[in-house]
Amino acid sequence: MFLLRLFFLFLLFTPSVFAEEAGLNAQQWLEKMSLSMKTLNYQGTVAFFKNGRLDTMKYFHATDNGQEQERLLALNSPMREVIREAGTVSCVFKDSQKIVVNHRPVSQSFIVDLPVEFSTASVHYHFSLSNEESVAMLPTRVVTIQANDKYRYSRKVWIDKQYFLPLKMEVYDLSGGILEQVVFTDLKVGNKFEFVKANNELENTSIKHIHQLESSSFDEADFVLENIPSGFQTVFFIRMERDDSAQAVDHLLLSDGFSSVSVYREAKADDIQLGLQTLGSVNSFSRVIDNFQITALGEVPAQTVQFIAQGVKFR
Amino acid sequence: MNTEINNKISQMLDDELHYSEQESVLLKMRQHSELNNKMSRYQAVSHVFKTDDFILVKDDFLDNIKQELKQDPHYFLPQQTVKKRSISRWQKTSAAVAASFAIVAVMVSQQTDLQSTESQQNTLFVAQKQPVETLPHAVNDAQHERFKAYLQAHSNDLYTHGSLSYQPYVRVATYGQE
Repeated sequence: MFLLRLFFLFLLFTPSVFAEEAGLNAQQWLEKMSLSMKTLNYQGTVAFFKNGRLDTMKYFHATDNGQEQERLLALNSPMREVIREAGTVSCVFKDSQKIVVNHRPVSQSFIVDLPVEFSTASVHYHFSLSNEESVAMLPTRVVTIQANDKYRYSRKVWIDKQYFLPLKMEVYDLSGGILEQVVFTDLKVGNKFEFVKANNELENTSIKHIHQLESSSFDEADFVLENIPSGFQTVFFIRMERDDSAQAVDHLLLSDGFSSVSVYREAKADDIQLGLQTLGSVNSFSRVIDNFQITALGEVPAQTVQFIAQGVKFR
Repeated sequence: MNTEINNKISQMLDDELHYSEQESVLLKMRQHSELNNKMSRYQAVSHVFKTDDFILVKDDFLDNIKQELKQDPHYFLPQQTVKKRSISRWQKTSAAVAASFAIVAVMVSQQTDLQSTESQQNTLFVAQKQPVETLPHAVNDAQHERFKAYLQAHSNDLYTHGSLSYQPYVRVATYGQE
């Protein structure tokens, strides 16, 4: 009887056994990962390797009644705490005692961007299961997200076999070189965390709010996009304010689920840097049309932002 | 025969002649100076077709260089003779004292190096940063601010990039990366 109980307990605490037996395909692994990321309470240490620079941060994910809060605490300078919850991303710069609160129409995870519908994304990406590897001393299954064309980057995600959380993520350039890496060095799941406020500890801080002026249909924009790579859909079109510019900036966000591109239109400035620029996996392409400057920017290959920017026409 | 050798010269200029045949053509050119001149003419015509410009070089251009090289004077420097000297006791003593001073100097300099490492690193850091400044500060800052605003509106990337808050974008920008 004791042995039977022990066997049931073993089955209860090893959901990975079920996952393996059920023979999940790559898309199902990704869908389970997406659900786990939103519903579980977990914390760990995560290293972001971007643009040749390593940033190590403490990571917390809390859920309460369907609400999520993601929190990052920098371990090295510049010291900062970033909190993401519904509609806002707050960043507390501890050295300069400043808080920036960015009100955004969409909420994206700090770890990995995922589509709402994986079946739609599977038209432009091929999902496949690779080998098993250990990350942070935890067994993972590697899922390859291979781009079907040259307008987007391929990725790999190392998914924890027990809780289906992403423990490692890599983004590859078109020649297969690593552009970005996000890796957990430790992970703890299960403890419930309290939601925290961005200005909890600091006194006499200046708080800067970044508001989007109005969200509207892209049909109301005074420009159109003639070149949109297949699979990229409009996420939102808004008018935003910039501190150093008196005029508002039109912002259109496109996404194929994993990769996103923003198109900005604002009055032409004297100091604009035209052409292509790169920062890690983020590429941007700027051009001038009449008295306006158009910039396409996103974590996509250079040719994608150039293609999109060159297809901008005024109505 | 003439047509054949002319074709071969033309092929050789276009790099289409096999290596084994090139040798025989070069031998013939050495024996017959008119073939040499023919090759120069073919080369000139080919150059004009390919580049649309032509610089006329005199026939004796190479010969003149050869002559100049032949007439270049030779300089013979006298060999330095080293006299053997007998080493006196006084010299041995001074060498020993000099060596002791050298050891003390090395030890002192190592300690000084350790103390000044931090200031040297700061100097190097500044020195490395200087050449990247290509645009006036005001322009750099404005571009940086615009890029930050764009990135901030686009995604959460800005918050996980620790370096962006400190370096103007132009300093880290590269081109052509896919």
